[in-house]
Amino acid sequence: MSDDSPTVFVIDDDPLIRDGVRSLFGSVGVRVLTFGSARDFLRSTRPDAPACLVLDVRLPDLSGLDLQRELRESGIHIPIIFITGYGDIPMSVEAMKAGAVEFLTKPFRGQDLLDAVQGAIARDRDARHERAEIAELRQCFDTLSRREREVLDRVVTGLLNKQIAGELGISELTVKTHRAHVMEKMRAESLADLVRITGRLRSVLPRG
Amino acid sequence: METEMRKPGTDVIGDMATWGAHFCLFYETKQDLLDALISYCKSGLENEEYCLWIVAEPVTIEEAKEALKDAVPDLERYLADCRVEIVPASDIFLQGGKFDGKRVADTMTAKLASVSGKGYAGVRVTGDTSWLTKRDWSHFCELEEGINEMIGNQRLALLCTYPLAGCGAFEILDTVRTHQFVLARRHGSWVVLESAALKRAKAEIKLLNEELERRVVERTSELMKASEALREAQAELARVTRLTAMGELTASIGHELNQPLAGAVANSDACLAWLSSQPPNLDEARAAAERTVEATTRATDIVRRIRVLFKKAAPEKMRVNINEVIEETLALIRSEALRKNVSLQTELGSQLPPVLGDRVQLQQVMLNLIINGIEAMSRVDDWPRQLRIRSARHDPNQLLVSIGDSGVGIDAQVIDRIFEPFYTTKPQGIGMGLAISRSIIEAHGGRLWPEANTPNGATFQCTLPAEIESVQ
Repeated sequence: MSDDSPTVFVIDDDPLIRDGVRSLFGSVGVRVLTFGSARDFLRSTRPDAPACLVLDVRLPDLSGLDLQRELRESGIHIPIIFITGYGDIPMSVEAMKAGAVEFLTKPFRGQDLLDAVQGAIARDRDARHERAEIAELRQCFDTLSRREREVLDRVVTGLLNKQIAGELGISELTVKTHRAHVMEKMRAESLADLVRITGRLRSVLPRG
Repeated sequence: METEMRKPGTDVIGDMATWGAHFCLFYETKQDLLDALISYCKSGLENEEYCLWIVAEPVTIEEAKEALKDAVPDLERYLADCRVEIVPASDIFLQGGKFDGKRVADTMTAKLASVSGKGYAGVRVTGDTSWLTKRDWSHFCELEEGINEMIGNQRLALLCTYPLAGCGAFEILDTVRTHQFVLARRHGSWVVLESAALKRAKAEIKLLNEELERRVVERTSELMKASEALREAQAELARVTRLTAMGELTASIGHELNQPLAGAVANSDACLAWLSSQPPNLDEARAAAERTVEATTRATDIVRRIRVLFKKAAPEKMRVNINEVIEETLALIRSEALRKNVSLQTELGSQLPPVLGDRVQLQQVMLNLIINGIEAMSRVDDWPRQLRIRSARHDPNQLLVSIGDSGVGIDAQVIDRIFEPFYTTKPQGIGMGLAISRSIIEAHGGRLWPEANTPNGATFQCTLPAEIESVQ
C-alpha cells in the first residue's frame, strides 16, 4: 500500500484520550489509527506513507520507551511524539536522546499536538524522500562493474586519469571509457556532482 | 452523748435496722420490749429477711410467738420454713451453763453462715441480755466490741436489748460505748441516743465522702480533658501520616488527574474544531462533547477521593463496604503501581457484610499497607513485583483483608518492632504508618498482623468485625 496521504498512529491505554485525539485529527482531515497497547501497534499492518507516532510513555505491558527501542532496533523509522502525565525529566531526556521529536505533558493543548504532528510528518516526508533517493543511488551504484567502482573511488579522491591508469595498470584511454560509464550510470552531470553523490552514498553504505 | 428525736411509735424500730447497724435498746417493761421486737421482726420478715430472736427472761418463747403472731398472721409458715427462729438465750449465750464469749461468737458465726447461702435479702438478729451477770459483763462488752468490727460489710442488723433495771450508770455507759446508737423509752415515746463518737464518725465520713466526690469529679474532668486532647492529637497525627502517605503519591495522583484532564482538553478541542468546520459536523461535535463530560466527571471523582483523604474531620462510624474502600484506594494507587512496575491482583469476596467504621480511617489503613507493599518491592528485580489484595469472610462474624507483596520481606529481628511508633526502615518514613494502622484497626474491634510469604515477601492481614444484621 503506497500513497502519500500522511497517517498519525496514536497509542494510549486510555480510551477517552484515544478517542479525543482521533476526533481532533479527524476534524482537520488527517488519517489516524489508534491502538490501546504497543503490542497491538506492532501487530498491525501500517500504510507505506509519511506518518508519525503519538505515544503514551506509561503503558501496561510494553512501555512507550520500550517500543521506541524496539522500533529503532528493527530499523523502523517513524518520528515519535511522546505524551505523558508525569513531568518526569529524566524520562523525557532519555526519550529525546533516543530520537523523540517532541515530548508533550498531559494535559496538552490540541493545537500543540497538531503542530507537533505536522512537524513530525513533514520531517518523516523528508526522511522518506531522502531514503528513497539513497535507495535510487544505491541501485545505480549496484550497476557499476568492479573496474568502474575502482575508477570511481580514485576519481572522487581527485586523481588524474593518468595516475589512475598507472595505479590500475591500464591505459589512460580505458580509464576515460570507464569514467564516462560511471558518470552516465550514476547520473552525474559533473565531477562535482559525482563527488556529492558518492559522499551521500558513503554515509549510508558500508565501505567496499 | 446527744439526743435526737425520730418519729414516734414502735414502727420506727423496724426501720432502724439498716445494714451494718449494731444498736441497743433499754427497756423498762416487758410490754415495751415486746412492742419493739415485734416491730423489728415484722419489718424484717416483710423485707424477705431472715430473723433470729434470742429470747430471755422474763419473756418466754411462747409469749414471743404469741405476740408476733398478732402482727404476722403467717407466722406458722415462716416458722416452719425457718424464716424466723425464736430461740432461748441459753442456746446461744449460755451453752454448757456458762458464758464464753468466744464460743458465742463461733455459734453466731456458724448460724449466720448457715443462712447466708439461702437467698435471704439479709439477716436481722435480736438478743436479750437479762441473763447477763456482773461477773460476765466485761467479757460481754468485748463480744459487743467484736461485733462492731465484723458487722460493717454484711447485710446484717443486730439489736441488743438490755433491761434498764439491771443496768447501773456504769453499765449504761459501757453499752452506749459499744453500740452505734441507743434506743430508750422516755416519756411514752422512743428516743434515739447517738454516741458522740458515732456522730463524729458520721460527720467525718460525710466530709471524706464529699472530698472524695470532689476529687473524683476533678480527676474525671482532668482525665476527660486529657483523653480529649489525646484523641485530638491522635486524629491530627493520623491526618499528618495520611498527608505524608499522600505526599509520597503526589506524582501518581498528578498523573491520575492529568489523564482525564488530557482527555477533556483533547475532546473539547476536537469538539470546537468540528463545530467550526464547513459545514459543522454536529454528530462528531456532540460525541466529543460527551467524552469531555465523561473525562471531567472522572477528574471530579479523583479530586473528591483525594479531598476525603485530606479533610480534617472527626471520625464517624457508619456501615462501610470494605471492597469499596479497597477499590477507591486502588484507584489512587494504580499509577503508582504502574510506575513502580508492580502488578496489582485483587480477589475481593462477593456479598461481604459491611463493617461498622470510619471510611476515611479504613482507607488510610489500606493506603498505608498498599504503599508499604509497593515500597517493599522497590529493590526487587529478580522476580515479578506482585501485590495481591484479598478480602473474604473469615468466619461468620469477621472479615479478613490481606495485602501481600513479593518484596524483600520483614527481617525477623525487627518484626516485633514494626508497629512501634516512629520505627521505620524507610529513609523518608516517619514510622507512624503501621502504628496508626494497627490502632485504627483495633479501634474498629479488629486485629492487624504480618505474616511471611513463601518464597518471598510479606502479607499484612487484618480482621474487622462484620455488621451482620444488615445482611438480612
